[in-house]
Amino acid sequence: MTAVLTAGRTTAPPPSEEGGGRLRLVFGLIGRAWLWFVVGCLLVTLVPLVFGWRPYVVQSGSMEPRISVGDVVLASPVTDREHLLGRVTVFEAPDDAGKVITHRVVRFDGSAMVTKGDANATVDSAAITMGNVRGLGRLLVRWVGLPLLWLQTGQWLWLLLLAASLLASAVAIARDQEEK
Amino acid sequence: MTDNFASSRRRRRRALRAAAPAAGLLAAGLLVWQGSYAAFSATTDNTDDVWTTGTLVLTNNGGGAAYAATTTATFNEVGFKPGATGTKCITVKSAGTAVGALKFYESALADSTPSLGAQIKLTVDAAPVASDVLANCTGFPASGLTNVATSVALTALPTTYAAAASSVAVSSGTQLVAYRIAYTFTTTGSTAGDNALQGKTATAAFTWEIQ
Repeated sequence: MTAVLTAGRTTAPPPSEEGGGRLRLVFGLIGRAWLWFVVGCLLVTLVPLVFGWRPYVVQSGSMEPRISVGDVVLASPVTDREHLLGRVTVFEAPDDAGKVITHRVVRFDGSAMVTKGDANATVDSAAITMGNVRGLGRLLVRWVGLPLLWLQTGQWLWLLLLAASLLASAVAIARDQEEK
Repeated sequence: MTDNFASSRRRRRRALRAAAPAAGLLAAGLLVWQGSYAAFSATTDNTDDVWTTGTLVLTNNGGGAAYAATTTATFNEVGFKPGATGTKCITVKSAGTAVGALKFYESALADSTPSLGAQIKLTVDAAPVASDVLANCTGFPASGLTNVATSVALTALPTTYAAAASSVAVSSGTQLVAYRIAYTFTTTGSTAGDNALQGKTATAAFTWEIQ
């Protein structure tokens, strides 16, 4: 078995040879771009936490087409409610404590604020006040929350594919290093 | 292969390897910028009807053939008396990408004094259906029902989404859920009590909501 393996190796082209080297280079480039894309998305998600912003994974399609399930909304603290009019706002549902919703404030109704999902035909049934507001949407990082949703809903195949793509990228980069 | 050629190829490859991470980071940045710009900067218009073009739409047919976000008067009972009963159906249509819980609750009640609403008891059942169920309930399924309320007075129905206990799970795509609403005008137990309800009106509005 060992002998066969050794024989196979000697017949394969050396790493710097045209054909195999070029393919390794292409895979290496794709692997680098993909890994750094993922790192970039994670950085954009995590760095604002230093400034007191908070990430929220979008759980429903009520803000389609601009915000989709699995996107992460980064919201900054807000004190002046004038900033919220017409803007995407993260708030706790007034009639369901603990449930966090990301909708748009469409109008003021006295001291209350009427909210609505972009994709919904009607406004939300319960108006909110500043006490319900968690933050103002500032940055949208697409897809970054999807692995969390996959984990919650047990979509192991997608998680596996993601892990496999990251692993394959690492291997492709390791195999495509500078020639000495 | 000359040394010269090999070294220029090495340089090119080195440049490509350095550029790949930059391209990945740039793509991430552009994605965030584009998404954030689209979602968070369109702030000038804040009237209700600006944002109605999306994909999550909940409508009902009011017992008829046409769907709308708001329909009126599925029941319009005039001159009825204790013991009267009636059954009507309404179909709620969810279209879009939402996965959620569809609930039924009473969003408004204009009652009389003494209360007519307290004597009108509703039994509500819901079932997913493949095609429209009209007011006469033809085609309403016999099994697979979700009981929403059993003999609950208009004055005692849940009035918010959170308070409504019973829900129907709705998946994405166009989904139809038929609701069968049966009422019974129950007697107050005394002729005097029933007589006091003569000429009274109770008007209730029902809301279906997905969250």
